[in-house]
Amino acid sequence: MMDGLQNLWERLERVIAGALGAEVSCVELRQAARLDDLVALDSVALLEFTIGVEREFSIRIENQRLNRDFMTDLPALVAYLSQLPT
Amino acid sequence: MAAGAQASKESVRHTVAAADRERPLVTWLDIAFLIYYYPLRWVLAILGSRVLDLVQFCAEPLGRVLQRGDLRIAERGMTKLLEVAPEQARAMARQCCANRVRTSLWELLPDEHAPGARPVRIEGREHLEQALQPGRGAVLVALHCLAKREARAGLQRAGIEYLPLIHLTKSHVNDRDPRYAGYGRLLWRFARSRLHPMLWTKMSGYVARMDPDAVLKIMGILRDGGLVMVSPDVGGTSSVQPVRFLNSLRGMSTGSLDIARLTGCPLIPMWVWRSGNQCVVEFHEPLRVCFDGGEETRESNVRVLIEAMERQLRAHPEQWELWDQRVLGES
Repeated sequence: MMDGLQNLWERLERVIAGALGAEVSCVELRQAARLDDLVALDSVALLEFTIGVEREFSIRIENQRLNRDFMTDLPALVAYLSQLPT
Repeated sequence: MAAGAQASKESVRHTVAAADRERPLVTWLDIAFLIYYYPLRWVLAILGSRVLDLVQFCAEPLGRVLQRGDLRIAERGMTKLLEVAPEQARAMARQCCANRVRTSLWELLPDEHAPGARPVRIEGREHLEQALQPGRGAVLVALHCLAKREARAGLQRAGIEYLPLIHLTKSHVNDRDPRYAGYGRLLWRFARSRLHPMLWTKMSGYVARMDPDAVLKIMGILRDGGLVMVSPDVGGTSSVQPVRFLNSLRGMSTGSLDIARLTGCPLIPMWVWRSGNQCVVEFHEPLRVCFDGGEETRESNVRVLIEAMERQLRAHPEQWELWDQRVLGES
């Protein structure tokens, strides 16, 4: 389970590097409550991040979850991603 | 956080109170608004939208008097930015004024009378139908045209629904809005709360630019195969960049290009104008933009977007809503 979670954080780190071009370590991600505490997130960056997450995890986030609060709340996002069937 | 919100509320209250003190109790604009809002609206409601042409004919001279300042600004803007002769600019500005009168009257019609309005003429619908694919919507690129709300209502009746991305502040009627500069406390306190609901009920359903979730709402609509309309001819977003537009340098939102790049949806120009009293909506082929390259490609995409808008504006300058902006006419 812990390995799985570690893997999720690493994949999120990859998404952030790829979509936002920001170098944020896995440890920093785990410690931060919100993504916008770590990187500047304007509307286009938020869209890039959301699409990056969907591509990385091959998922389609439901419309009701498509909001800034959810997408930048890292613990909630990881909890959501961890519940997805692998 | 709560303390911050409270401080912000206090600051807004303070600003509004300060503005209040500076205003006279009643100005002639307040009285005009009340005549405009109550008797005229209900006369229109009783007679129905078919009399709009007649009412417009009567209201146009008054409109020209009331808008004479804006008319001059529009005329100067047209002369300078479109490089046309002053006489031609004057004629176009007068036409623009007539359009504004019609828009104002149309917006006064209560919703239940809108179906009686003249149907909107739709051209190039096939471009829209070809662009839409299952699981992929399209981004409509439009200018701020005077007939935009009328066009939207007409398209809705024709089965084409879209959500416009609009610039709407939290308290939309604010001190900085030049349209309310001449009003007195009577309107400021009493009528302003009625003015905007009246205008915006014509536009139920929109995405506001300052909504922090706006871009994600757009993403949701597009991937459900829906349509979103953006008007890049004003700034006001985080993705504004200075561009040469109509012989002037101005900030223009390029967010529509980012949305198209990230969602893979086409950008379809949608131009709206009035031909006589007929509202026309014209869809064009998707803009030929390419998202494979770097900065150079981005610049060329911006150029494609700007050129499309400039072409339309030069074809129908009297339809543009933004001529009265001082930044255009006097910069």
